[in-house]
Amino acid sequence: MSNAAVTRPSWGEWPRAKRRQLVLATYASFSALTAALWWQVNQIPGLEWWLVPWIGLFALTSIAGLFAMRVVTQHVGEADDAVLDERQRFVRDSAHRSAYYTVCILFTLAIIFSPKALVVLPSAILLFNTLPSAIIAWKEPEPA
Amino acid sequence: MNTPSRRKSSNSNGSSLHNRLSVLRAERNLSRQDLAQALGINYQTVGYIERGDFNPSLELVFRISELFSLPIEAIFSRTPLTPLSEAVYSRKEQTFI
Repeated sequence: MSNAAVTRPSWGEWPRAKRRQLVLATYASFSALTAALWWQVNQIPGLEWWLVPWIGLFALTSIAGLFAMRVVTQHVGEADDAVLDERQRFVRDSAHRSAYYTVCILFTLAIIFSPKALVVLPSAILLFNTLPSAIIAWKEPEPA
Repeated sequence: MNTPSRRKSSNSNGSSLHNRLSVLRAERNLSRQDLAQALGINYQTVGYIERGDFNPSLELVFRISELFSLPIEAIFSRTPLTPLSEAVYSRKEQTFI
């Protein structure tokens, strides 16, 4: 079995504490970028000029953090089956499941706190809760 | 007791599997990278299997068994494994008696 992940450099040997620091730093930067952009979009008078370099800085650190996380995890999160072994596939699938439900919760909260989008809440909740089952129902082969 | 030769796993699916992989690898002077390349898996996966953090699939267990030319039950067990030397010598003594 060919496995590209085998030959990749062992950058993924970062200790867990260091990896978690990287995740926290990246999301802190990402949150700051979001807050700065929100501030800019809402055009609070007299604040735009000094926000621009901060937006640039947070954008750069967010992108750098995103890239570093991918390197540190040896790109397991977004790799195809062909380049992963069975444990890596299990880790990736498990991460995607957790990510899916995290995104669902965040979107639901965003809809709840955004009165204009509240009309799509029932559809969103229905979609979020049925999509994995719908994909499985669509893809599973004939029963044995 | 958890020695490198008798690892016990208690991973995410709740099942537990003991193995002698690290001893067999050391006996044959193989690094994790060597074994990983021979098996077509990531070298970290070898470490996770040895440590008992990941239970390999049946297909991978067969490949490991074939690679070491040993029966599966000599490498993996659902019950704690005795040290390899103890297992071999107690068998020899029984044969002499």
